[in-house]
Amino acid sequence: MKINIKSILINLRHQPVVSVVSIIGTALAIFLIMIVVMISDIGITPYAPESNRDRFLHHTWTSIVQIEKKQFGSNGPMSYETFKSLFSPLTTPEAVTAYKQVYTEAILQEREGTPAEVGYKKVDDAYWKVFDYTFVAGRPFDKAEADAGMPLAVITANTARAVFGSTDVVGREVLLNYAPYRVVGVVKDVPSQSARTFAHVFVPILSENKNEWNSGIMGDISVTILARDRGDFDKIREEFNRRVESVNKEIASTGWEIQTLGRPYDQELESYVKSSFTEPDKATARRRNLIIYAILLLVPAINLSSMTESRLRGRIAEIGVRRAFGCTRFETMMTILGENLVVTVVAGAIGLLLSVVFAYFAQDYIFSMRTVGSVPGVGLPLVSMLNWMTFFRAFVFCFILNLLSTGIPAWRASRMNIVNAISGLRK
Amino acid sequence: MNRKLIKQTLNDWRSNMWLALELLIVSIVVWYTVDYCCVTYVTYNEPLGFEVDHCYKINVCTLNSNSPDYTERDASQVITDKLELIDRLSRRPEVEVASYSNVAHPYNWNSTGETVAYDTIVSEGMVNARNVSPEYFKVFKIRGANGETPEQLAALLENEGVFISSNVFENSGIDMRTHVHDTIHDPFGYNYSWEIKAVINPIRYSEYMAHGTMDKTIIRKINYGDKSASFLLDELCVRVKDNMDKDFITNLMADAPKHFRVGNLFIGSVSSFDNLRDNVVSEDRQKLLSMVSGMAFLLINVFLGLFGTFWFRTQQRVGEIAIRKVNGATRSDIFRRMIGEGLVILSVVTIPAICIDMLLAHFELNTAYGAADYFNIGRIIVSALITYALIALMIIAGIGIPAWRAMRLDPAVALHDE
Repeated sequence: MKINIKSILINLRHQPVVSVVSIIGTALAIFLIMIVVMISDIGITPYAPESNRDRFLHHTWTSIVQIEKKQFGSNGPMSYETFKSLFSPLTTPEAVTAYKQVYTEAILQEREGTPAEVGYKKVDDAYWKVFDYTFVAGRPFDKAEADAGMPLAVITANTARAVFGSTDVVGREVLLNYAPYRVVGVVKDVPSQSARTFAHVFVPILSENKNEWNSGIMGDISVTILARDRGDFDKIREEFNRRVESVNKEIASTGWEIQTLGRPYDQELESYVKSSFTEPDKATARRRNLIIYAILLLVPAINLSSMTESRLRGRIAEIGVRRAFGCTRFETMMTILGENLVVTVVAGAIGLLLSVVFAYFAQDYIFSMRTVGSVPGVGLPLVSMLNWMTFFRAFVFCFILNLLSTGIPAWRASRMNIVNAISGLRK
Repeated sequence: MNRKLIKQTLNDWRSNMWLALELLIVSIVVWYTVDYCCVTYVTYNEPLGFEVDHCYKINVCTLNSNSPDYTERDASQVITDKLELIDRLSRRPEVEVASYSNVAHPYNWNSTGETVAYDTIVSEGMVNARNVSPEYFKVFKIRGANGETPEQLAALLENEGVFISSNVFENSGIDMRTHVHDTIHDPFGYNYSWEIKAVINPIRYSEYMAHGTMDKTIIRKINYGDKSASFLLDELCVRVKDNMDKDFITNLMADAPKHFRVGNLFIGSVSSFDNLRDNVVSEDRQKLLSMVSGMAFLLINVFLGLFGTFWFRTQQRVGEIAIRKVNGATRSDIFRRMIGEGLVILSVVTIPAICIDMLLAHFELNTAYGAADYFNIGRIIVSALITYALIALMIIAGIGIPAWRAMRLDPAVALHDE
């Protein structure tokens, strides 16, 4: 099959209005569908500091029930002690981190300085291995410092500017809720959309009072596992389930037992989590997305189909001549499909470009970004919207759209009687 | 004329079938969205049961033990500190009134549920248990269902007893407005019972949450001696005088380190209720906007599709239109004929579309809104009419341009070949 660009251009020019309308229609369809994809994927696409999302397993919430009365339960984050007994012995993962999942509001200031309203997070030392923050100055706190609960803080660049007026602040003292901490590192800011890693200040878990209840099982800690490879997921879950069994024996005297509900979840499944006490349903969520994509593709496809049909009517004689000179039906169909695919891909590229530009500049509105505290926030990086996966999907959508919109007209054109076609007749 | 129109529509059946299929899908999706918007509009405009303009939440934090300023305080000292903080706040010139409550303020992520019984009737669904100081009613301007003012309610709460919303037992058909001074009790026997001191209007969760969901409530006076009063979900809210909102947060935060630190307590931040409301409703608003954008996209598609198809058709029918003009058809006849073709297709597909709409309403929407009284035939007809009008508008716009071109055709030029 040979695609002749010149012939495509001549055909487009032959009926300029219909061609322009087809291109606008295609671009609009790809534009909208890519916006929908970006909205549903923003929690799954990897970008710093969550670049390893495809190797993450999350255990955000923990569920416990009473051994005697199973209808009484408690759901929420676990305590640091529970984290240590459940996760520290795991050997399969590359790293496991414990941290407070949602930031806590606080005030941060220099001694005698003006307080800034910030969000802060308690994290362990492995947090800096699992999540790839970019350090603009200093370093993260290490295991010894974290275990000793030393009052050290890593702050973001915008926070450093708001409090000290500069990012060169390693070694300086800062008051977090009127308690003194020493800044050891400054990291690049994270968009508030990345709820798991967003905060202005990060301090060691043990630098604060313990926060635990339900016989010390529950607390304020969530966990993320970094696997060496996605293939290890099942092995990690098996190892984790064995840990849960043995921990349940240890805590039996408290009257509580831990339920796994299929945890830990991978990044995609985690993005479908609705509440701390229900297991998310990947199939339903995917089906819902498919229905939306189908409607968004089908309507423009039907539209474009009737326009492709109109454009093909103008080429009846040409198709007849091609067939008379020995072009098979299959080849005729493939040529029409191929030529249309070129047009669809060009229009699709326009749609994709528009969607990325729109998503980038209207991100506050479409990704529900919000400002936390008094420190200026940062936007999402371009890579979270435009990456190889986006290109690939946009191309797949173009291909499906092309097949849907041109398939039937091309099939009908290829099956035309040669004599009728050359004489320009068509039923 | 009409018979001819239908015949002509049938003659182009192949491409009209595509149009019909497209209009059918679009009609269903647009109906779904219009219906969703209608229900949201009605829900949104129902009374909320409270007012939050000029209201602010003061987020009180506690020092960590690693702070040099930390001092050991027992539970009763913490309560004394909190009351002192409230007292200092209410003496601020901008503040009209300050209240203290537990999981009670409007637009609240958190909630505490309770089940209560009246005689042998047990409440259904979640009844929000709120513990509040009497000033709570003045801060949020909550009124009684029998016309009590916030001030009267505040005075009534000073005594023993509870307030309940009029709808707590509505599933059993009981309107509690006429049951003031009756007694309600816990559902597990008569271990605890409370006299109903006043009946208030339902307090809704947000503008988007439908009637009957999360809007039942039982209110008690907060017990300062109780352990729960010093629990971490307690709230300090203030109402600022009408013209004093400007820079209230900035000024208060600037004064906070000097004037509002009591014991281990300090003010971490101040949130306006506009912000709290945004946090609670942002997801609903986002969903509504996405649906309306999706609908707009489909309508634009209808416009483009009809425009493209009819542009081509006009080119094909130049001869026919010219002959009709020669035989006395006026310009508006030609215009009406073309628009008519689109409307005939739309009218035909509207019938199966309404059937599918009704099925959708029956199986899907009915449960999604959580309240059966929203489903009625009137709603379906109103939504269907709006849907028809929206699509008809797109048809007129889409076909209008090619039809206008056809209308201006000069028969002498069009037929010069003949």
